[in-house]
Amino acid sequence: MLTLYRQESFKLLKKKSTMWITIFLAAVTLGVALMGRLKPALFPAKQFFQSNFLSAPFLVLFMIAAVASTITMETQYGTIKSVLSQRYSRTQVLISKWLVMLTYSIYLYVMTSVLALIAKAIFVNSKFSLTDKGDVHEIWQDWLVTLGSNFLTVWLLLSLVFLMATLFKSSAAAISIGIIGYFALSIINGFLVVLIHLYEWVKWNPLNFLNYPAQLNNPSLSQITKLSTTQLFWGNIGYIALFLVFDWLLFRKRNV
Amino acid sequence: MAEAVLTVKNLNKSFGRKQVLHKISFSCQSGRIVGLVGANGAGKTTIMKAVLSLTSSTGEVTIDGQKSTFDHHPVLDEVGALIEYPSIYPFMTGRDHLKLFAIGRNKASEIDDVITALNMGNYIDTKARSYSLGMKQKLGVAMAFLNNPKFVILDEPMNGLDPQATKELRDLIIAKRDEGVGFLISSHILSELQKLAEDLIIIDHGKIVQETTMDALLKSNNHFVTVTTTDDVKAKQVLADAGYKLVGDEEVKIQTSSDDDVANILKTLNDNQLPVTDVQHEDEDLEGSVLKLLDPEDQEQGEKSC
Repeated sequence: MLTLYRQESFKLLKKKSTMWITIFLAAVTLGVALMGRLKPALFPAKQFFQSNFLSAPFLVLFMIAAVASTITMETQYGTIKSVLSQRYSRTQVLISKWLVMLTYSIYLYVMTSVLALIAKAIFVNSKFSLTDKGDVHEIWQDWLVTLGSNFLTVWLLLSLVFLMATLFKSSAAAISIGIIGYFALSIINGFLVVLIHLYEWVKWNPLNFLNYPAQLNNPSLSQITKLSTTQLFWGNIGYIALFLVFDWLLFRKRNV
Repeated sequence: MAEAVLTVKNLNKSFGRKQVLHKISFSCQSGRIVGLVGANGAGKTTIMKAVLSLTSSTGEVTIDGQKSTFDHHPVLDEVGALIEYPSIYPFMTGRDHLKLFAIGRNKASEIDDVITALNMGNYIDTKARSYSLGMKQKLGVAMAFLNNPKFVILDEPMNGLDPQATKELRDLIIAKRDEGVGFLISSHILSELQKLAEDLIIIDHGKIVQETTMDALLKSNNHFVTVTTTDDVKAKQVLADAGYKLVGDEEVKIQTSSDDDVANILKTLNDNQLPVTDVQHEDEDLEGSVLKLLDPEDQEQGEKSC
């Protein structure tokens, strides 16, 4: 299992995109913080800090692509034959891919968060203090809550991307569904609100659980989602588990 | 008798309603090279994939004494394989591929050994996306030989290789065979397989039609002798009258069945004042045998038309 984890990490590190994504996210974090200093009206530092100076949305898109590619490239290049004809079971192969992507997402979140703190200290330290009052708690607390809850909802999307990549064996399909899922909430949220109002069971659909970070920063949103923050938390965990279990059920029967 | 490194019993495989493998049973011995021969779609690659647990099947696969199943196959540590076409990550170098799949101690020296054996030093540290077909094929073969496998499965290993690389690979296979490694090799280049394989499994439409040794198959082949005389037309007539089976229209080509035939043919021609100016022997090769086995009707019709 450790060998598989090492192999998956090796492949990820050998991709040029892995390095460029780190550079790009670092540049966005530092660049937006700098703009917060130069053009404070257009780039409100205090607000943008919550999303690590806007690197968080890009991070989600890159993670969707990375997750889709970790599954589909094996089929595309035919390397799945080398991977599966080792001593390891399909279950072990899949879990190693999940774990490497989990590690990668944690790395990107930690890297952008540390850089956001550094950028804040360098460029916009005078604009706000981490101990200032935020939406709910102090800014640093809101920031950590937002990052943690975003991480959870991103994994709700990533688990779906894993499933789609295994199902369709196509990066395009998996990435499309991940990105659509990511933007769907903002596009159809209004419609979703009406649907939930009309039929309360609609509140259990996975898109509603993507509201978790927003509801943590604005507890009154529970009147719209019709779910408590605890329910949103466990719902995210439940859907992640469900999508990953379906992914496993498909992958363990995969014929090459 | 050498120890069986692979035993396959009653292997069946279906794609939907179509059954593509029918009760395939055979074994491969350590230190022996088994050739797997058949037409396109006969089921060669499917057999190999089933052995490697790449595709599900029913039946029993035992490798080095341990059962191997679709879900549980730790014994594949002992197996190297190249199936269909090389599995190459274009963003990695050849050496990266070998590092990726190398296990155990002495990885670096094992990697260097296989690079040297296949003469890949010139390009092993460049990205695989720039490799030619032959370079990729060599890398795929190198990956199959990594980690000192006891058994190696090679599906069309000579694909895309130039004559020099083909010879290098042949020498490597023979060297490994001599060290005790068992091989299962499929190839459409039957002349190459003839130089390598000691045992043969011939399959057609998912069934084994013959399991034999290369020697036995070639011995059972047709043998011909072509003679040139001062009067070939008369020579044909004389030999036909003497009961010899003539093949072909233009030259005096006689199918022989025993070593004595050649001497008797020459004596017959000499007795009829037909001096022989040239004699050539021709043995049917593996290709001829396989074609005959895979399509006996066509072969019979071909002989009749002669």
